[in-house]
Amino acid sequence: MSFHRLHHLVRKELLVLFGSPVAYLTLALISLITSLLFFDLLRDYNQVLFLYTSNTMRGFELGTIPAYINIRDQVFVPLMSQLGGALIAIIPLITMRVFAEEKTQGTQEFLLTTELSDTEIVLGKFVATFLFAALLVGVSFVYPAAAIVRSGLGVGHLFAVYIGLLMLTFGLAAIGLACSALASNQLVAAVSAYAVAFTFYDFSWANAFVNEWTGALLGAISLLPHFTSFASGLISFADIAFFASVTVLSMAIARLSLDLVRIR
Amino acid sequence: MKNSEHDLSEPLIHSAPRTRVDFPPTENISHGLQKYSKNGVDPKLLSSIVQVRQGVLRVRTTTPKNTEPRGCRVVAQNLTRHFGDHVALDGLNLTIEPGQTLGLLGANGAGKTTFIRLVTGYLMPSAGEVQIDAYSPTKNAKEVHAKIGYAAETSQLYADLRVRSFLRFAGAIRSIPRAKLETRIDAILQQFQLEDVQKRLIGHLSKGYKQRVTLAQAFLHNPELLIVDEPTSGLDPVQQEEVCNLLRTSQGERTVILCTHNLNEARMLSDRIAVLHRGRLVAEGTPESVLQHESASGLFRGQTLLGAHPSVDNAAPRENA
Repeated sequence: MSFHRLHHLVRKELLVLFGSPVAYLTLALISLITSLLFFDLLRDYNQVLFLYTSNTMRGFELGTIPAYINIRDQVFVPLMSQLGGALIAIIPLITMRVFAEEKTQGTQEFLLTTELSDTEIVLGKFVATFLFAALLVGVSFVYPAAAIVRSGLGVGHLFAVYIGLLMLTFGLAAIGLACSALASNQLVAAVSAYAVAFTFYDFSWANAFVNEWTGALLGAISLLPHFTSFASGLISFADIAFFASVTVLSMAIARLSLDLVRIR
Repeated sequence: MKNSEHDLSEPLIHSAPRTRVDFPPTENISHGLQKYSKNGVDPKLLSSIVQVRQGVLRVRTTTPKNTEPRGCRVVAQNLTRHFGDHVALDGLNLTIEPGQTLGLLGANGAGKTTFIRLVTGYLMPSAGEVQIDAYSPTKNAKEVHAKIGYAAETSQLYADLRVRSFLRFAGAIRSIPRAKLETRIDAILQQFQLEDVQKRLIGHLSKGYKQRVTLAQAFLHNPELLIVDEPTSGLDPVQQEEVCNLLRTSQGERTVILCTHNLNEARMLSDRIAVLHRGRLVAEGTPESVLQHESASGLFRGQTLLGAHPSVDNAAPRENA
């Protein structure tokens, strides 16, 4: 493993990414989606609060405003859930090209006939994609961070939520990269990444159809339940290990796909 | 020798510095050459008159090449590759000696690109083996890839990168030491006349320039084995001549596998020619012997006078060739 080669591969990936409009479009799109979701939830929260504090209900004076009418439960928590859904829509747009574009442009043969090992190629591409994903989360986190600060949840909670969002993004990116490595072109890579990400995002709908043991298993392999604990301010080793496992599994699939190229 | 140990400061062309011989403008070139040879330079060493301008004759002299052949030895033994039921390469036996340029000829689908991909390790053989200086491309990929410079048929270039950025990336992943990388890139940009376009996006370049960038990245780490697949495909005659001139600079410097459809190109640039047809070697020998025996259309249809043994070096010429 050479860090010099790895550094240049990561640099190349980021240059190629920022050399195309996709990077800027996704950054703009996630900013737009987050701000729209945030202000929509904030508007709903203000309307409910306005009703409770109106002259008729006199909520503040009588103390009749329910406990759940607060900025955390009305704005922040639903925003995190919706942001997770938005990331499913955005992340495959970034990951679809990472391996598949190399195949369609013929540059995969160039990479595989240099001194880069297969592991270095996979690692470099994952690191570059995760760096961009971290930037994406940073951009999308401005409004949720404002909500956390305004609601007085504290820096610790803010940190836990950011780590959770980062883990979820890395998990989705890893799924997208594995699909890109197996797919023959970018369209197939994007569609298959959407399918896998939507399927594994939340299995709670299946609880009504399966027994308890199967329901628990499906819950354990779903992305959303592992993210929810971060959103509530808990940093759990088990949840971090889950997202790390998804990443390692995806890297193994991507590494295997390069072997398949040679024996096809 | 490890790639990092290569002397990347050595010139790509074996040539002495250009020498100035001043003579009055009224004197002709032959007089200037006579004067030049009187200065103690053997006229046989004069390879070309580079420039005659303002009464100054600039002559490039050729340094006698090192008699020790450079490059690596490539041996293919019973090399076979299947794609499903299709046999792309069928029991190929071929040896390329160090410093030799092998012209690989054949029609589309003959197995040329498959052979190249087996040599580079991009594909694994179904049977048989290929060895590069006793290294297997699949088992010793790192050692083999350090020796290889590969310019593929389809330009394997990143359209969104600038020429210099791409060469920097190509050099770094081939373990050119950081301290030498920029100097080496400058030299290769000059060698391939890419200085004017070094800051342009590769996607915006003409096909001729893209082909030069492809060749430049293959030469960048001064490889012992250069593999070029259809280097002049799709280029106009002027660009073809430029690419051929670039490849000519490599002769004797390294082992070269030149994969082409163009018989003239193969004749001019190759020390030996091998002809493939439907995955089998149908002729092999010096350009004169192969092209003397076989008509061009016959070569590409796989016709040969040689029967079971494809070597034509000692075969009798064809009557109606």
